[in-house]
Amino acid sequence: MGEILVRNGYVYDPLNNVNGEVMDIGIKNGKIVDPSEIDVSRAKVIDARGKIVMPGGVDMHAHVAGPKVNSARVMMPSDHYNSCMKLLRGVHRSGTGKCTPSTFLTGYRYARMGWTTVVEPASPPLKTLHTHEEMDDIPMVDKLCFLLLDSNRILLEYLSEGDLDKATALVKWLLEATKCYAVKIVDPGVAVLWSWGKGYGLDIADQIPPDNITPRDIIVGLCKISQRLGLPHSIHVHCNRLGIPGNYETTIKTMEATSHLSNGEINIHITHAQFNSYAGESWFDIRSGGEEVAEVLNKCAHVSLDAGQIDFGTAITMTADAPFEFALYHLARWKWGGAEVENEAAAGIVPFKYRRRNFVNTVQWCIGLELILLAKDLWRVVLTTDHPNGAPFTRYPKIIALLMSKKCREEMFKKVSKKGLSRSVLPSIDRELDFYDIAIITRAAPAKLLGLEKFKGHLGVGADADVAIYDIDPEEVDPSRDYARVKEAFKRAYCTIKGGEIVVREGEIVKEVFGDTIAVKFREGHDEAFLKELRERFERYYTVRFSNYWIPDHKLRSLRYVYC
Amino acid sequence: MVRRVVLTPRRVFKVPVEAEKVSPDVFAGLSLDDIKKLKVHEGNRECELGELFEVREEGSGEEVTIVLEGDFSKVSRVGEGMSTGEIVVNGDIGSFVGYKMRGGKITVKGNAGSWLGAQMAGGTIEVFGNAGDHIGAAPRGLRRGKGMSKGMIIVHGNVGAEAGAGMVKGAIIIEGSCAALPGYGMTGGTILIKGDCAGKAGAHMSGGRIVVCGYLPEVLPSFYIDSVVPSVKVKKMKLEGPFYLFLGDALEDPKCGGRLFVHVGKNPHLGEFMKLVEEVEEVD
Repeated sequence: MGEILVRNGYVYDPLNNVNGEVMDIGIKNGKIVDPSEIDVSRAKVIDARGKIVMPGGVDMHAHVAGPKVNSARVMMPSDHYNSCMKLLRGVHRSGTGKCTPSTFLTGYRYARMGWTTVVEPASPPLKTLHTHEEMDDIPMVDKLCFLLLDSNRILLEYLSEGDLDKATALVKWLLEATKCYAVKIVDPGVAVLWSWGKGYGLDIADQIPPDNITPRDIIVGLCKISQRLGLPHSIHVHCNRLGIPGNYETTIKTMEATSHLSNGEINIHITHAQFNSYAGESWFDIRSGGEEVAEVLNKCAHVSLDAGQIDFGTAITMTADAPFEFALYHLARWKWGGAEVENEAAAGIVPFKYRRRNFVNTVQWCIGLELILLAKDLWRVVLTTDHPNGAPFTRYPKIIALLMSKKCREEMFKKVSKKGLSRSVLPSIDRELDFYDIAIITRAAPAKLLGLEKFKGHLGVGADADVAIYDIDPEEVDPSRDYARVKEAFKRAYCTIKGGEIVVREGEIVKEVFGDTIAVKFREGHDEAFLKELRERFERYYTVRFSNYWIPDHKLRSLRYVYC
Repeated sequence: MVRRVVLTPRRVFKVPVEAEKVSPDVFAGLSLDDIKKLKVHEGNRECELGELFEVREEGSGEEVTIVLEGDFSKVSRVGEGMSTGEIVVNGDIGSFVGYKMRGGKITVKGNAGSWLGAQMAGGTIEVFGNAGDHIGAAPRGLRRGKGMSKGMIIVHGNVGAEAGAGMVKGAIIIEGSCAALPGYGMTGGTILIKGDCAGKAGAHMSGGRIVVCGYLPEVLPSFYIDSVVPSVKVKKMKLEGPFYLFLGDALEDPKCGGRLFVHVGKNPHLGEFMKLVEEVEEVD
């Protein structure tokens, strides 16, 4: 690994308060160092004059690996024969797919856009070995994996008994056994009800039989556990009643559910908030609840969210919210895939086409943008498309252009449903983000919310050398008028550096590297007495043996621990 | 005046050749040397058209007729997306002939492979031998109603399974017999089978017509009997019956927009339906 010097670029590094200053960035042994330490005679020098230099992007929520992504690949052959990347011998491999690209293509596409860290946000514990094996095949990016815990049979028993100590010990053991990073909650409790074919429209205060427990109890319980364990990321919540008109009230209740637990820090992350911000009573009078949700976000300092913006075109919805997917299938009338993981979770997959002329889809499109544009504190907002639910991650450049330019949005208003627009406040929003704001919502904020701000999402000394350089001159180009240039620039990075290696040059892959899988590890060991009890329950409920459940370290290509 | 471009294989191909550039739209306006330099794939190897085929030219003019002489059974995607001109194949040809074609004419004197005229949106294809599976169909995984949307396919021999799957409009005329599942998920258009059909005709259809003039082993239980009609007219051809008229597929669409005509004389085992129709007529 050599030395690299990035010269004279306009650096946007929000975590270090660098806003468009012309600076040099030095890279040595995969880390950012002071430029004076670089020996210019030996180093590769990249001339970034008139270009933007940002930290590598961090995608906080993208379903890129795991059993349900694989099922979607099988379900959608049409997604694959219409798009392919050719093999370039010695440089990169081939691949196919738009919405659910093959693992290698996923990595290449991220790198080409300048993204270097990605989070697979929902993996049922039992299937996490598969998720890890698939993530090991995703090159160019560092990977994290969140653990689905909301419907875990044993956990729910402990929570309904009110035994928080044992529940904490269980979560601790599960996170370490499966090499995951944080707790994901998907429509809490719904997979339990789905076992009986019920669960559609489960609200936050409803009872979940057979345990005497409500989704609110699960959220609060897991939030407490997450705090006790000192996990770097807060709980990652997909709220109840996703995709049902009128669900913004549930979302607001969820946001407020953990306010009493916070001492000023962020303790709940509402994911793909767009799908949870619908006002109105039914699909016929749906309107945007983005304003209301953004208002609560601005008020509550303990909440962060990601947008889950949609883009028009074909997408594949896949979530652990199985009853909703079954309902969606009856709307879309195309294909449906369902799966259930014993004791732990359920999932559904439905391909869906978002249409411009459809007013419901237009409302959805408005909400995601509203949420970002109405947020006062961008450090608690993240740009995502919930890939591939809202749109593939390759649409980020398009969404960045929409956020940076009112003119771009107005161009789109001409193409979308007028009825849908009239039910949202987006046309009245004048805010335009600048490059610094974009660097926050795509890099700094997600890194900070994930608790990775020590080594990801910034360009300070000691950070990982993940750098993206975009060929656009902020002095010359006015993003609000020249939005097409912005889109082009973010589509293909001029140069991407991953872990101190140049992987993309002028939008083309030049080298394939493999990143690490980041997981939490606890300094304290596990309680032997508890493990004995857990083993008993395990052998009673599961089809796998307790001793086979733990994923050994050597199964993973490259593991990097974050201690807590 | 018509310009004829004649292609002959230089050798027997062992691996499939993908020749989507062999189309009158591409050849029009190109000189013979440029045509020879067009890129085609032999297996995973990219090579020039002139490397694999002997190319010669006869006559000159705006309109192009491509003549394929010899064994082309390993060559696929000929005439992909063509909108004008003509292709004449004097022998067998591989799969995906006329894939997404919009106009013009393709004549195959021998047999054709699978996916003949898949997703075609205009023009005419005539095959004098047999054709493979999925003629005029939508590729795998697409929504119903993404198949052939216009134009005509005439096959003088037999065809394979799933002819006209997902078809929207246009006509497929099969002189010989046909394997299972003709008109799978079709939403419009006409399929005429002059010979026998192996069964499951019109599964998941929600519109359009299928006419079976020969033997059909069974009608799917999700079809309703409507009446017996004396004759059916397809593309100005009058087919003498009588025919049973079934409506379906009730599983796909409760409105039962699809119509399945089955010849009465060739299918004595469907006599039960005749009794039903007669009973209803007596009541009326």
